[in-house]
Formats: sequence, structure tokens, C-alpha cells
Amino acid sequence: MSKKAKKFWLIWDRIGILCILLTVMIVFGILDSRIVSPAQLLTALNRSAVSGIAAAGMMFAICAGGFDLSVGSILSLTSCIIAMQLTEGKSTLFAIAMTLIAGGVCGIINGLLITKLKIQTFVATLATQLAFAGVTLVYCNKAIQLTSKVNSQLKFFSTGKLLGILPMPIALLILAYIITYLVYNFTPFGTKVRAVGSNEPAARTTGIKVDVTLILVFIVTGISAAIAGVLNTAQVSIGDPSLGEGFELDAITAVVLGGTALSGGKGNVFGTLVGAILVVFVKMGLNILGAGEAYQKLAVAIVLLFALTINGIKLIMEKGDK
Amino acid sequence: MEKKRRLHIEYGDHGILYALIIFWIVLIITNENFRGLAFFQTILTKASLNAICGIGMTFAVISGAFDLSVASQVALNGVVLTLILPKMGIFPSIIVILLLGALMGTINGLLISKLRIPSFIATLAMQMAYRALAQLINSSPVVVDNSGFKKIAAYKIAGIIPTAFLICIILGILGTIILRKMKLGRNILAIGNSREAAIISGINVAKTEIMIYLLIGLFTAASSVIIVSYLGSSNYGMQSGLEFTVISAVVLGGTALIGGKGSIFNTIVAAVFLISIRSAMDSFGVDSYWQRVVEGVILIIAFSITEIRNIINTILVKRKAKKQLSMQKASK
Amino acid sequence: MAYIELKNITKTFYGVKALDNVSLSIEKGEVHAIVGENGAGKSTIMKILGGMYFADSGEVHINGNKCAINSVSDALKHGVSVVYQELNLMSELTVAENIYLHSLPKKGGIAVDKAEMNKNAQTLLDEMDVKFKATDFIRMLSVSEQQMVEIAKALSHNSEIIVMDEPTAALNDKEVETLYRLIQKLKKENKTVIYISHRLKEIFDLTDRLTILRDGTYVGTYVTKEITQNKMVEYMVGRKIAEYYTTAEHEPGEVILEVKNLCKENVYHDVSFTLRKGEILGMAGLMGCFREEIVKTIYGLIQADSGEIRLNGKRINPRNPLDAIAHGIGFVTEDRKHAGIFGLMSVRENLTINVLDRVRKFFWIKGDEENTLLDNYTRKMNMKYRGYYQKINSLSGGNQQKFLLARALASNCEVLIMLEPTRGIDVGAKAEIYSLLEDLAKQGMAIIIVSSELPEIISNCHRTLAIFNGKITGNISREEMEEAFIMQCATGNKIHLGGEPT
Repeated sequence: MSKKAKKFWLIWDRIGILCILLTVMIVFGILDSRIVSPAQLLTALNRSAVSGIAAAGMMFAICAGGFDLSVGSILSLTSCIIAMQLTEGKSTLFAIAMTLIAGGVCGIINGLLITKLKIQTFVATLATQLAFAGVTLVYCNKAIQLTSKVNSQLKFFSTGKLLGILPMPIALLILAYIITYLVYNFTPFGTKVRAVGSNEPAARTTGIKVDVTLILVFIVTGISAAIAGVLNTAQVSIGDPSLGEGFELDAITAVVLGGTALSGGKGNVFGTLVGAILVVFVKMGLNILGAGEAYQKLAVAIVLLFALTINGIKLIMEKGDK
Repeated sequence: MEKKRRLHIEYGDHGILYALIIFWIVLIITNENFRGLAFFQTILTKASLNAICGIGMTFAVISGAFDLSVASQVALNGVVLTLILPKMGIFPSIIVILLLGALMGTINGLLISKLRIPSFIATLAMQMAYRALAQLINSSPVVVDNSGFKKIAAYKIAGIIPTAFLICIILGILGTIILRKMKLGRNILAIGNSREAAIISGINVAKTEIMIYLLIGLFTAASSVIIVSYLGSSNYGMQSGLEFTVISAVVLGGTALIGGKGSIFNTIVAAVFLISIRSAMDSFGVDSYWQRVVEGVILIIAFSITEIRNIINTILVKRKAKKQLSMQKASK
Repeated sequence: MAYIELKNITKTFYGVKALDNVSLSIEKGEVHAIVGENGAGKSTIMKILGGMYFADSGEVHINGNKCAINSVSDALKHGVSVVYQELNLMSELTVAENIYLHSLPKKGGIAVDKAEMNKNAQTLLDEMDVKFKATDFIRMLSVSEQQMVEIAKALSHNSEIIVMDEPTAALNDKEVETLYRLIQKLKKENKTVIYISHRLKEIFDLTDRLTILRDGTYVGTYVTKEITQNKMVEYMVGRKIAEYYTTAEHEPGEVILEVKNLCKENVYHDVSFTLRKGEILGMAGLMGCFREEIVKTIYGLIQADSGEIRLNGKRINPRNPLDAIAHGIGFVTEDRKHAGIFGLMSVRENLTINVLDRVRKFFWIKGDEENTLLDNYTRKMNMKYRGYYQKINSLSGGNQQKFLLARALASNCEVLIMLEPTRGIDVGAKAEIYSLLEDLAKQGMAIIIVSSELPEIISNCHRTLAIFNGKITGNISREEMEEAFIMQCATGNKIHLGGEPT
């Protein structure tokens, strides 16, 4: 690779995704100025909280060299749990605690399958995607509408404002990413995740408890998906077992767009955040332009393929060096 | 040195076949619903729908990859098929669908082999894209009017053999020929064993990889035709989750996920086995939601079968060692 | 009892005894070498000491206490740290993070104290006189720099016992000097150093005593000053050198392959040589000298930036292996297991994989013709297996190598390239392969052997090229071929481009 190319990729790693977001915003702005109005942008940020938080967890999984395809099913499961619990009259605190525990348990199951039964992460979470979805349906076989009385406390997370100005979803999103940034860069856990993702056999040789690290990673992904589920229910006041279908793709798209390497070891926290916002923004913009659900899904698929293509080109150029 | 001249249609063990036979015998004895020609005809027909797709998927898994977009390919094929069937008639429509399948397969293949996108991510993305395209083409279900077409899945030759199953067997033989007796099949096996060794041996790995997904596209298209014939309708959301069933069949049939070896015959047998499990669950009144959980568990067992075998082995070896040790101590 | 006692260690891999009842002892504070040919068991026994492998039977005693070493952490606890031959580094982490990964310094209980970690790492690096910094990412470092990081890793534990497995394999002169200094320093601190190496010069320079292993058994322990180089090699090999190998005596014919000014940035530079029909050319060099890259370019696996490759006068510059094979170049890899055999496929399929066009009619592969081809080569090369359909991964290493050779020969190559032709193969099969190569050369095939075993090169080749840092530093004729001399060129100390015309 020429020196210029190397420099290009270095800069792209940092701000490439931001450039794409700005370009998309400009294009949408030209097509229909309503899309980029401040109110609309605020709505976009509010909406990206759910997939953004799940994407933060997914980033850890991908950095460790794996994937979690079950986050969609965990999302459905937790949204149903909190809806059912609230409807049955349990306190909001209890209901939220239950969902977090459920998310953690799902993560432990994923982690054990991967470390003890030595199933590839991708394949294991494909199976648990099915299993968790089934369990959700057994637990709650139709959507549950939350009445305003039951929902009153939970609603705070959706409509409330931190210190009176910052909408709660955005506050939670920012908080989640600050925590992710700190954990990823400054804790032993973060370093171990990068080590395992970079070279798993070498990590084992060095004496790191790789299995423990992987299980923790999936617990993190599970809990992030659970938090996303709670937030989602807060925002739409419905617990729905079919909610999470295809959700994992949104999360993975956000991470890949953000520049995290699929091979593991190299994560991009800020990029993932921007990626999550971009995906929501594209969907929202298309919606306002009148394009239906199908076009939106197609658009997300194209965006993901575009991000993967850029990754691929970079890999091909790097390989030419060897 | 032995020189075996066998008809070598398939290598490997046929454990899955024995498992199936035992399973059937047990059910026939214990469950009165599990009897009668019509019942088995239905199982074989339903299994064929998945098995034909499974033939293609076997190639992918042998090479160490997956194609997660097959369910959406069926949906897109189905929607297009019901659109053109009234206008073009049966055979031209089938040709068009096969071409469409080939096109989708080629797109997948190019993404994976030329752009080096990992197979599961690329096909995950295409899964969404094809499904969305299906929805765009026709967002409402269409019922098939053509009775001749519907006969493809429903007809029973001599009243006994379901055509769907016959087609499955014929395509299975075709697939086996490709795998064992054609250069393409050897190359796919080689890539599954060691991609690096394949490159060094002068195999055109990129071209072979594209061919794998092309094959999947073709076999999936074939299964789409039979599925639409069987269901009598199409719908953009159809066959959601098909990829789970198909991959389960391939893996249960003994084709290892790491690649390098596989058996199309066993994939077909495993597909029959899975449908038999479903029918058994139905006849025992198991809730359909629990059935999903069971299928997820089956998938997990199939994926981890090698590791489970290792664990069992280790336990047995340890027990043997302990016994020997205590016998030694006793004899002193 | 000595400081370190290894008693009756036996280790078997897939039915092959890598170590057979080996016992040896090492005194505290000494620099002790473990010497032997490839496959003698040196790395294996040290991996057992270091917790990477688990011995089938035997005991390890350190300082009078019996030690149960079941993992790398156990080994560290008992004061053993190992610098392995294979790099165990994470490319996406920094040097400091790699060194302190197992014991990251903490601040406030949860955060990593990056400042402390970087400082400690930099201190280690300063002692080692290296160009890179503790905050650099591993992926930015060269292979030899990464090896230095591995050494720093082992030193960071401050262990009493340090094992080094071929530490200089990838290092340049200056780095080797640094290593010498470090070992002297460790000696002063009364640390015990166990040193595994092929480099006889280093063993004589650095060590107090040496233990010789041969084919997994213990031969003897000697005081370094009291043994001669010839005796040492004799004990390693088990017989007088002269009777061990064949000799290449026939005269090569006309030029068949010409390599002119091959350049690839950061890899090799201005590589030019010729190869004649019937000639066996050796390529010697240290690890990381890029000689594999040169031959891989000839085979089309790598593309050069500039330069020419001519076969029979015609410029070919192959773009990929398929191209190279079509032109008549054959290649046998050194990594049999991962890049050579198709393990789960039959011996027959492994042989015919790139000549399928010859055994098929329209699309149908004819099993009978495959079998005939297999029979042919089995006779020629004396391959041992049970049946046509036997999976190749159940064959011995020697037989697998024969199959890989047969695969290359089956496509009727005129030029044959072999990387480490007899690595990990038993003595009998080695001899068979050497005699096969000699026969092939007599029939006019041009052969290039890239090997780390100098005795192998010396006895089989008409001529040897020595490569250092991607440049040819030696073109040594048969009369001048001698281990020390080749080594001098390969380490860049001497440049000798005389010998046969290049």
C-alpha cells in the first residue's frame, strides 16, 4: 500500500463514519428539509438509544472475535418480561431487575455453549436465537399493551428529561457509551477482550482465562440487549415477542459501520455510536420520504454491504503488502 | 494392501439412518397417529422441501461456510413464481425461477469470494435484502390457481411414492455426482479441508467459492418451486427460519461444521429425521412454541456433537484409568 | 540433587514417541544448552517444563521439590518462564500490553495503570537497546522486533529459570549481541538459563554445559569447553556424517530457469540467479530472511514489484499457482498439516487433485484411471498405505510428504521447489526422499531445496545460495560448501558471490 493509501485508511478509521453520516444528512436534507429539522434530529437520537445500547454490547462480542446473533431474541424476551411484570403489578424496580437478570442468564448460556461445548460463537448464538425466541413465546404469546397507569414510572426513561433538558433515552445512550469507552480502553477486562480477539491461542498461552473472559463478554451483550428491551418498552409501551426479529442485524450493522474489525481485537467505540445513529436516521428519513418498511430494510442491508465492502477493500490492500 | 472396489456413493458412517429407523420403529409402536401410508407420505414430502435446499447447503458447509439467505431466496422465488405462473405457464416459469436462484447465488458468491466478506455476514445481509425485495414485489399473499402446478408436490406415483420425494432423490443423486465425480466437488472438498493447501495446489479458489453459492441458489430455487406447489400460495414472509432447519439437517447428517467432509445422502436422511421429530411432537400435543425451543436444543446438540463425544471419551478414559489403578493396587 | 531435575519424561503424540524416558539435570546459575536435530525433542521437553504440554509420565523437580506443572501459570509460579519459537503476541495490542497482559498493573482497583505499565515496559526495552517503543502496536513491528518483545515478556516475570527456544532464529547481528549481553546479565544475577539452539557457534559462546537429545532419547550431558564441534554433531546425528547422506555427483545441463532482478519492497531486493536442468540448488538462510518469499514468487503465490522470471528463455512471471503449474513449476510446502494435505480426503484424492483434467472424461472422474496413477507413484516412491480410500491424515509424516511430492510430480513439472523437504520425518523416509530427489535430478529435473538443515543442503545440493535480509549473499559451489561458511553468508557477515555463474 502506498503511503498515501495508508494515511487515508488511518483518517478513515477515525472519522469515516462521521463523513458518511453527514453526507447522508445532506442528501436527505436536499430531498426533504423536514428530515433534518432540529425536532426530527432529536427524534432520531431518541430512537437510536435502543439499538445503540445493544450495539455497544455487540461491539464487545465482535472485538472478542465473535458475534451474538441472539440479541434480537433477548430483546423480545426482556420486553415481554417487563411488560408482564408491570401488568401483574410488580414494582418497576423489580421488573427492571428481572429483565437484567434474564439478560445476564441468556449471556451465561451463550457463554457456556461457546466455551464448554466449543461451538463457534456465530453458530451457538444462531441456535440460542431460536431457543430464546421459543421461550419468549411460551412465556408470553401475544403483544401486551401497557396502560398508562402501569407504565407511569417506566415512562420516565422515555419521556423524562435529565436535569430538565436532556431527554432520558439520549442520556442513557451517552452514559452507555461513556461506560463502554472506559471499560474498553482502561480496564483489564477491556484489554483481555482485545487480546482474545486479536489472538486467542496466544492469549491462552499467556495464562489468561479466556473462557471466563468470553462468558463475561456474552453477559455484557445479554445485559445490553436487556437494557435495550426495557428502554424499548418504555418508549412504545408495548411488550411484544416478535419485536426483536432482525434486530441483531441493526446492531451488527452499527458496529461494522463504526469501523470495528470483524476479525477481532480492534474496536471503535465512537464509530459504533455514530453507526447506530446512522442506521436509525436512514430508516427515519426514508419513512418521511414515504418509503415503506421494505425499502427501509433494503436500505439497511445495502448500508451494511457497503460497510463490508469498504472493509473488504481495505483487507485486499493490506494483503497486497504481505 | 487392500484394493477395495466399492460403489462408493457415500463415505462415512450412516449413524443417522439407523437413528431414523429406530426412531420410526419406536414411534410406530407407541403412537397410533404415527402409522399409515398417508402419514409417511406426508413426512417424506415435507422433508423433501427442506432436503432439496439442504443438498445445496451441504456444499457450503463442506467448504466451511454457510448461506443464511436461503429462506429469503425462497420467499423471493416464491413471490416471483406466483407472479409469472399465470402468464408463462409451468415450465417456462420454473426455468425463470432457476435463473433467478442462480443470479442470487452468484451475487452471494461474488460478495464472499471477491470482496472477502465472511460468508455468514454477507448472507445475513442478503437475507434481509432479498426478503425486502420480495416484500416490494408483492406485499400480499397470492394463491396459486394452476392445478397442474399444484400436482407437482401432491402427486403420488403409482399412488405410493410422492413426486416431491422422487425429485429430492433425483436431485440428491445429481448433487452426489457433483460432489464425488466432478472436479468441482473435489475442489469444494479440498477448500473445506485446507484453503491454503487448495490455493497452493493450483485450485481456482475464488471461482469455486462462487460456484458453491451458485449451486445453493439453484437447489434453493428448485426447492422453492416445490414449496410453492405444496403450499399452494406465496407470501413475502414465507419460510422464515428455513435456514435453521436446513443447516440442522446438514449438521445432523454428519457434515462437520469445520468442513472437509460431508454426505448429501445423510443430509436428506437427517431432513426426514427432523420432520419426523416435528410430527412426533405434533402428535404428542407439544406446544408449537416449545417445539421451537426443542429445535434450538437439537441444533445445539448437532453443533456440539464432536465436543460432546470428546467429553464422553475423556470421562470413559478416566474411569478406565482409575479402574486399572485400583486393580494394580489390589494385586499388590 | 541438581537444581532442576527432569525424571523419566515420556510424551507421545498420535502414537509417535516424541520423548522416551528422558532424564536430565540442570545446575543453578548455569547456562545450559539443549542440543539436537529437528525432531529430537528439545522443544517438546521445554514445553513440558513451561506448562504448555503435559507429560504422559515422569516428574519435574525444582530446587528439591516435586512440581506439578499443568499450565503456563503453574510454570510461572515455580519460577519458569519460556521464550518460545512461535510468536504468541496480539497484533492489536501495544508492546507494553503484550508484556504485562497476565498481570496488568491496576490503579484504584479497577482501571489499568497505563502510565506504570508503559514505564515498566520501557525500562525493560531500554536495557535491550531496541528501536521501538513500549507504546507501539505489535502489528507495526518487524518479525525480529517481535521476537525481542517475546524475550522482554519472559524477562518481565523476573523468573529464576528462563528457557529460550531458538531465540536468535529471527534476529539480526545487533540483536544477537543484545541477547548475549542479557544472558550475561542473567548469569550475574544467578539466574538459570536453558538455551535451545541449532547454532553451534552460540552454544560454544554462551553455554556452560550442554545436553544432547536424539530422536526423543537422552544421549548425554557434556561440559561445553570439553567437547568438539564434530563430536557434538556426531552424537546428535548418531553416526559419522559422511555415511549419512547421498551425494550429488552428476553434471547439470543447460539453463532452464532465470531469475533477474526480482524486487519486492521490504521483502527481497535485486534477486538474480539461474538454475540448470538436473541441478539441485539449495537456499540457506536464517528465519525471516525471506527466502520462502523468493521461491513463492517463482511459484506465483506472491507477486514481485519488478523483475523477471524466465523459463526456457521465455518470460513467465506467474500470476498464481495455476499459472506456475501450467508452465511446469512444482511446489511442495513445508507446512504439511495445514497447507499441504487435505487431511480428511483419501490418499487417492490427495494425489490427483490438480491433474483431474487427465483422469476425467467430459465431467466424470474415472476412478480406475485415478487408481492407475496412484499405483504408478506408489511403486516409484515406495509409499505405504492400506487402501486407495484411506484418509491421508492417518499416514505417517514421511508418507504424507511423499504424497505431496507425488502431487507436484504428477503435473509433469520441469522445475521442482521444496520447502523443508524432510521436516518432521523419520530417518528412513528422509533417506528415501533424498534418493528420489537424486533420481529426479539425474533425469533432468531442476530442483530448488529451501532448508534450515544445513547438513541436508550440503550433502544434496550442487550449489547453494545464502540469503540474508532478502538479498543473495552467497553463491557457494559444492567444493566450498561447509556449514560454518554458509552460516557466515546467511548471517550477512560475508558476501561470496563466486562459485558457479549466477
